[in-house]
Amino acid sequence: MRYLSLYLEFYKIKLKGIVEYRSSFFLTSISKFVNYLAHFITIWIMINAFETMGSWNAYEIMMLFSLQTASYAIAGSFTYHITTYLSNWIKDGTFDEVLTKPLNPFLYLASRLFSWGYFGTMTIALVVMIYCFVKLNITLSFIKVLFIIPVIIGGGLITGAMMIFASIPAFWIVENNFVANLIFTVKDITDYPITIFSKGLQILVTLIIPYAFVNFFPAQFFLDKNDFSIFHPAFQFLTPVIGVIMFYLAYKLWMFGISHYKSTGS
Amino acid sequence: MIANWVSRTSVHLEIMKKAFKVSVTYKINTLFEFLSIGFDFFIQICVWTALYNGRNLVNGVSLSDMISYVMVSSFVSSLSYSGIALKIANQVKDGTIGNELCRPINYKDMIMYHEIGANLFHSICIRLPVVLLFGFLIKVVIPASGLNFLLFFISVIFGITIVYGLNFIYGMLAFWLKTSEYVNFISRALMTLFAGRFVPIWFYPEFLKKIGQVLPFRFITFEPMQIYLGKVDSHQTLVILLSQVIWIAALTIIQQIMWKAVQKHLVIQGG
Amino acid sequence: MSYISVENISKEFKIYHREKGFANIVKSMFARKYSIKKAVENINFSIDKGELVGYVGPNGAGKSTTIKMLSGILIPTSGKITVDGRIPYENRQENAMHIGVVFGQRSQLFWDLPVEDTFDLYRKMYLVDKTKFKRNLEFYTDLLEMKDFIKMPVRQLSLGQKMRANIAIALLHDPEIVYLDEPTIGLDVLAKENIRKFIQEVNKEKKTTVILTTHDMDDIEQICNRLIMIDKGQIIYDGKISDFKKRAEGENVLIVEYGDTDPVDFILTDTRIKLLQEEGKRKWFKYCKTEINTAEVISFVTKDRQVQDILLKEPEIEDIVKKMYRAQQVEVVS
Repeated sequence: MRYLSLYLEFYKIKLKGIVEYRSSFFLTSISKFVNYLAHFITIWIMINAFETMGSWNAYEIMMLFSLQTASYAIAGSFTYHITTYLSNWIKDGTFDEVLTKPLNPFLYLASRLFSWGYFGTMTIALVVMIYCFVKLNITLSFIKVLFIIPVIIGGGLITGAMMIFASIPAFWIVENNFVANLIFTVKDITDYPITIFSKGLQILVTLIIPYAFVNFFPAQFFLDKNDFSIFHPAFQFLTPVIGVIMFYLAYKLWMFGISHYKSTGS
Repeated sequence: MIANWVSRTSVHLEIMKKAFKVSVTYKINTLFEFLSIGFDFFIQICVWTALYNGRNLVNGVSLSDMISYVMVSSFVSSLSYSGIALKIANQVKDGTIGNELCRPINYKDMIMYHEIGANLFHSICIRLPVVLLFGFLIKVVIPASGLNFLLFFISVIFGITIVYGLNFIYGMLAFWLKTSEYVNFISRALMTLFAGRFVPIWFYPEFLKKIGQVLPFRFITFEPMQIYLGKVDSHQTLVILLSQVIWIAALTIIQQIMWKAVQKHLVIQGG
Repeated sequence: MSYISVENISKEFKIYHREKGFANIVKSMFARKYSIKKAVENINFSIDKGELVGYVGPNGAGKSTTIKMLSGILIPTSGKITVDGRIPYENRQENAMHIGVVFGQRSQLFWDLPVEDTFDLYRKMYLVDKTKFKRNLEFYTDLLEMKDFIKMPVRQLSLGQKMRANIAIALLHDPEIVYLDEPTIGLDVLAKENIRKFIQEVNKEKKTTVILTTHDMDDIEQICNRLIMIDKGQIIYDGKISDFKKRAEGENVLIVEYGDTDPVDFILTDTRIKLLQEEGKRKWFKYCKTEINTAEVISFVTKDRQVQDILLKEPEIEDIVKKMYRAQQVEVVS
């Protein structure tokens, strides 16, 4: 932990950069906010015209989407740019410079590529979440409020782990965006309650690429629902655990990628 | 005059061919694009099936209409996608658009045809085969007559023209706003809300329908799709096509006025 | 045992072949065809503390690969490197605390912010205490003339200013060893001069060991006391600059452009000068500095003639390598 103040320094420096270019930051944040808002509105329009989807109403599905968006904002701040930059950085040699630093390369990259740009995304996610709770007339118990934070962080870890997995092929091959595309396409399933899909897809997003833990399972706890299909109801509490496990695996594999890079020069 | 047009068109074709070729070289990505488009269709079908939940008609639209809409409109959307607004906005903002004016071919045409070339590749070589495959498996609605198909085709081309008119205008706004960050926010959000790509306007509540009525966005995919699916009679079809022409004219005029102002400034500044 | 020791180091890379055709691409995702390229092959050298070593060679000779292995970025295929008792590629992070690295034009600065802010970040990264930081910052700001741009956002700096800031950052924590990969590439004469002086000064003041790779023979001549030359992954020269220069100076070339009225033919009476090439009014003369000095050559070839232009061509590093390579092959043969 002797480096904690160093990593904080990165976030401070990035914040300073924002202050320097305030109007640009606000415009990007507003832009993200408005775009997500438009998306939320279309979801509402769609579900509302049909009243329900499966056993889920419009606000419940917006809730799913807001949990997903909040997790994405957290993951994106730390890991999105690793996914998008790593391949180019390896190609142009910037990654070598990363390895000359007396730091853990993952923590260094995550800090150096940290972005405050998801501020607008996080805000809209939280605004919609609160709006949905109000519209659904759900009284939030103390435990529910307390559980929201680990769920969003756990969801962030799962989403972040997926982004890291998507970046790993860069250590072996040059073209890697197809892996990213595939992982991100699968994510779209969890825009909706997974029970409207076949069992095979439900298993895919629960046990293999566990996006369902980002929103589908924990949402049932917050919304007092009972739509678990073939899965155990205890799954609604597992998000933080799955998050830590997935992130640890992604981290280990990423570090293995580096050791491969060091011995082959890619 | 005609010779001039022919030579210009051949240049445009050349640009489109280049963009097409570049896209072909990313073979491995192409394979995964097939997969992810197919997967996306599959998700959409599941979603709408769950929404219909056994009902025959909702707001006068059947499930099979809706699934056809998903497939065909995705094809139309990939033809009419444009990201050039940001490109132009950035060049207007930092003044480099002045350099582009020196080239012999119209700069706007060049980036437009380049993008259309890439779009044609994505729509015809990647999206269309998936659409046809799904259409073969689940029976997509096809237009009632050849004439309907022709009118649909014309309205799609008009729609693409509207997209580019809008994008040029978004791009040139940078000249007055002195920044380019607004581009994504207006272009994407307005399209999501009022073009009816994701959720067709049939399902919109009245007040949103009314706002959409006075905006050009529904003429890009939604109205051409209405013609395709036979949801409008011949009179309404004519109204749609006429409205598209009026929008194209209006956007062209606005664009010309803005472009003149930008050019004048560039000349005074010396580029 | 010496401070830096490189023993029998080899590094091989796999070069993957690009496949054509769709089926082959899919196949190549699982088993790819490759050939092996030896970037460096069985190199040996040792460097003492406080030496200022120039590491040169043509493009693709294996310079960067060696520097990367020394700094712990790459693991050698075989052989052993120790740097001050550490094995850099096994204790990369620990080793990184004691070294400073600058890779050419690759910037470690933050684009949006003044240089100052980046300095502060690196102070924390290398756990430099505040008094030492202040002292070093003052010393470097002064020596590198950074005062007038240290508060400016990085995006407004010139290439030379950025390079100076990058070098200062690499030295902020008083590393015992500094690796500089092409520190003067792309800079103007003044900026080059400034950086050369700075490197010498730091080496003298702090006894920092410096290893620098370069294309620019002037860098070496002006600041290094030792030269290691590498070509095709093998060391072809390791020794003093002065000895190297003697071997290299066989091929000085003087280019003279004569006036219009001069006779085309030219008779060389001095055997120490050779006519290398002629092209209209231009003539190339080759001579050896050990036999005849440049002034003598000039006075000889311009005597009683109208001269429009004279150009002195110093031996290019590539030429020297070629020459040395030839010499080496001859040695092997004989």
